[in-house]
Amino acid sequence: MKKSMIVISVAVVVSFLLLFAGQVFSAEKRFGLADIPEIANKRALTLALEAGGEEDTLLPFVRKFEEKTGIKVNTEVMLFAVMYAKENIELVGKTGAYDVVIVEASWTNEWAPYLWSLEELAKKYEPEGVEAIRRDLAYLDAGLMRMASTREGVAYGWPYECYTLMMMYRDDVFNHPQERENFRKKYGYELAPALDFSQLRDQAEFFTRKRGELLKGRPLKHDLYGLGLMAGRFPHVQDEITAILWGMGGRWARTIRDKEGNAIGFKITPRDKALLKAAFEIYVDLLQFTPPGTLNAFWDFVMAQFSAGNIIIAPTLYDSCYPWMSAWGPDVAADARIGGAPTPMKQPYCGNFHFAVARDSKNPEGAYWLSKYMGSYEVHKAWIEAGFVPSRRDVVEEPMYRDPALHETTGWIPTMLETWDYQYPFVSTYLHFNSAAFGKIYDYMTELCHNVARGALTPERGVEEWVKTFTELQTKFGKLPVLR
Amino acid sequence: MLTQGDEAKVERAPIVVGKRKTVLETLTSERYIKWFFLIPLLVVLGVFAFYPLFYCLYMSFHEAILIRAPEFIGLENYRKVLHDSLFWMSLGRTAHVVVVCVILEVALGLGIAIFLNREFRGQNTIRGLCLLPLVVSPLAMSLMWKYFLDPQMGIINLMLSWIGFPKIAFLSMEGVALYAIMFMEIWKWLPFSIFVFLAALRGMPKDAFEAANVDGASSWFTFRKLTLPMLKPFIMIIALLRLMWLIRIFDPLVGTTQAGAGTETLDWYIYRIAFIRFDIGEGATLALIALYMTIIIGVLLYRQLIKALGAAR
Amino acid sequence: MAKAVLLKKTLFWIGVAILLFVFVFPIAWIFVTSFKGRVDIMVPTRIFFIPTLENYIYEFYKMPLLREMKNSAIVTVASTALVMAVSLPAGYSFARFNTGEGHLLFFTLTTRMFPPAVAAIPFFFVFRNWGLLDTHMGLVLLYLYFNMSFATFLLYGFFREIPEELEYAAMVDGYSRLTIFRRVIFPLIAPGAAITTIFCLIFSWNEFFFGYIFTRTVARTVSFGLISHWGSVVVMWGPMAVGVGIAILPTLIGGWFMQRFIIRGLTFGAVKG
Repeated sequence: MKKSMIVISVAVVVSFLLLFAGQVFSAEKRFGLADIPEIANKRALTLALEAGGEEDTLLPFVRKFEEKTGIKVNTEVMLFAVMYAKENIELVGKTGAYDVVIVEASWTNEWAPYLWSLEELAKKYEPEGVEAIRRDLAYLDAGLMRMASTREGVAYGWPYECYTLMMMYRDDVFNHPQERENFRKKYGYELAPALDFSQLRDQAEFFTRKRGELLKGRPLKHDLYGLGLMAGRFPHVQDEITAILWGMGGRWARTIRDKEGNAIGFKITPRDKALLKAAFEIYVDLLQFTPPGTLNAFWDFVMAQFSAGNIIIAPTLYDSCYPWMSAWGPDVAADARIGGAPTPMKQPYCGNFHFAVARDSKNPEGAYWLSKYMGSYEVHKAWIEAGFVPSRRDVVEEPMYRDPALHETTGWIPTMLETWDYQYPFVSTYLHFNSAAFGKIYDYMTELCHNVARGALTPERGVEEWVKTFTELQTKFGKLPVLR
Repeated sequence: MLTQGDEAKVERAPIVVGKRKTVLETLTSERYIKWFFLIPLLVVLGVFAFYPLFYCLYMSFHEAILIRAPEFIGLENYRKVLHDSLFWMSLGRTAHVVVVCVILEVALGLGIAIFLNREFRGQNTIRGLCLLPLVVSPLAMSLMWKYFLDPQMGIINLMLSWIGFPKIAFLSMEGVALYAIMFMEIWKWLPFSIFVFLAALRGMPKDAFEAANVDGASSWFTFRKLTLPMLKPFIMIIALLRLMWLIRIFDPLVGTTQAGAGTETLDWYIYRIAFIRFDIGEGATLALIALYMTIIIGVLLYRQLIKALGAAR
Repeated sequence: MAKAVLLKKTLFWIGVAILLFVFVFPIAWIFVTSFKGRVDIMVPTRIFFIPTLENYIYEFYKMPLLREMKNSAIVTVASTALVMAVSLPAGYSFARFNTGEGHLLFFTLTTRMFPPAVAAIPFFFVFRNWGLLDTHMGLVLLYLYFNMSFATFLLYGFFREIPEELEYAAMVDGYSRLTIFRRVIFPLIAPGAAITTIFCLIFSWNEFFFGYIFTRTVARTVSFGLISHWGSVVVMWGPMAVGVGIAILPTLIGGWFMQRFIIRGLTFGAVKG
């Protein structure tokens, strides 16, 4: 064991102890609507929201906020695929159009110059100053908070929606005696959620069957595929490949830090290149076990395929999809049951959206309290009950959600917590949360991964393109240099 | 172009002597009236056409990325764009779309127009119904076809399964997705060519055809020697107008592939560089190159278009 | 012989049925889909289903659809009026005096050849400075830019059809050019102007990109509203079908009543539909 690893693990333990302690001591002092003080500035606020039903959950709370503070709040709903472009031009253009913006965790470094940090705001507006905010932030997962912070560790927003990739599989199929026996005979080990990508490949191959072949002893009415992946040209394809790369210990680029811990640049090591190539190869290889349509797919497609009984394993899917996946179609066995496990190697992409206050806001005080309220226990509780995934540990750890009767709706929680805890020490090493050009790099990675998936680039060329374009983008748009 | 040989005659309009003319009178005088009518247009052009043009011209020589002041880099952007394989690929794809769509629209449109060119009960209603796709908004069209073409819940795949086809993921298969986009475009614009041809066929002189009938010419011969030459200006109109609109194809991608599965067209690429990457310098360069190319095509075809429009009247 | 005629007739009607199916069914199906419940939408085999109004209720009560339609209507009508005010005199000038020997007309046309994504950036900063972002006025100006070239070229064609002799006759009577334009030319151009107006209305209503970039909450348009059904957790196909249906309804109705003029307009008056 290296010294740094020991230091990190000690830090993890200590931080968990602190977290725990924080929860015990301030269990009754959780921030809520009643704690918002009188706000002098009554200018109307504009809150950016993501499209797709989340506003239904958040709007009642926005109304409550309006009632309590007397500040009008306008909401604007936008599509995720173009949210970066739209918010970016308003922030860079200093229009002050949005008081509270949605920030995808990996854009935090890039947008930090246009946002107020939480501490700056707390100093100005919290009656108890910075202490108060530290206490409130302790309820949020530490790893997620690091993602909502810059590479120097300065926090910028209140995480609300979290998306952690996890593996979802057909528990009933995995536990079927005949299937288990066949699998053992063929591959020589027990059928269980895959721990690494070679196991995943075995299972994918095992379950890919033609119409008429048997599944659980009954002939299939349609073709069956082992896996559901999201290889369309949407950000999800890079989340999936990233899960493979990180799991194997590779990084898109490494953040190099000096002795004081300040980041001084990025470097893609020969090992990273080799692992990226391997990750590409694994992903392309796995695609042969997916249903037609995968190359234009995002989560929606995988969910539909899973519920229709066309696939057995969704190895890297957002946990927020989990509650929707048990709407079984007519061709699916009556005893169908969903199972959840961490993705193979347990280091999937795991990000969040956070609400941050724009520097050009005309009413930062109101915006601060609105964003803080959106991060409160009350809102996150409603959030989880509407089927979304919150970022507050005190909400997801509520014992009531562990009820086995709720397996189909909140069964993802233990898996997510396991992934969060395992992932925590690595978060600050990921390029996503260190580069100030990541909005641009993110879009490029989507394109690159999609092109590799569809075979327009070989894995080898894909790696070359990545090195070349990353260097170009980071040099042009980022702050830190790319080191040789 | 159009010539007006009557300037001299017009100049002799009565002039009031001995009274200073007001500005309005000067402007509406025979000499300036043509410019007077153009004032609103010139104002709009000055603001909306020249400004972005000069902005882009300026930015194309700069490294302009919004987060710091533009920095002069000479022709670097041009060098980069011209060496950019993605640019050339998107250009090639756009050309592919243009060629396939134009050819199919002309051929299918002509066939269907000949088929419909007769009197039948309810003809106006049926023709009216066939015209409807033309007015559907391109974005709404892309969203609705995404739903119809979906392999799981789409109606098209359901119908295909009735006649024994396997499921096809149109919008996701390499090489197929681009044709699915073209299909949507053709679905929307086929009525246009059908109705242009229908109008043309109905406006044809009857006597020539009767004479050919009397001479016992085969219908194929009549079509080739009589119909087709008469339709030439109409074919030109359809081809040229569609060419100009198809070069800018963008909206159909928004709701469907978002440029995935090998469907990135020129305008999407430009949009991505300018509006997702916010590389204004490179985006401006791309825009100018696209503009120059369209203008060159435009100059070559503009005269043909005017001629065809004139001949069709 | 009678058999052959019957066969021919049958074949013809089969052909017509196929045509109608291809062009009308997709449009009709989107309206049918809008009455489907959440589960029915996901399962295409359920051709027959129990209709529900849930999507409509959602769209009208929860989504700002009505407001978006109002915005689209305001912007569409206002910009069309402005376009006509600019393009009518310009088209006349080009047609009658050949102003700019064709070069200026061609330059006007090139504004439509500029990729909108790039034009949007300088506009964005100018509009920010003038406070035009997210206002109806801003969008009206953009649609003016967007439609002006097409309208001018279209009207140019219609003006050319009006014989010059009429004007000379009026001039002999001592009318000024302005009066001639108002009293002689305008009544003659009215049908052409009507066609142009319809086109500007349809194009503005259907426009997506500028409406998307330049509006937020106050002035957001129907097209912008449409893609807001596509979220990170669910795609709301049902409400989206309602939105699509309602977004295309005005143009469908307009298209139905104006069917005779649509082809005429799209071919710059050359083809009498």
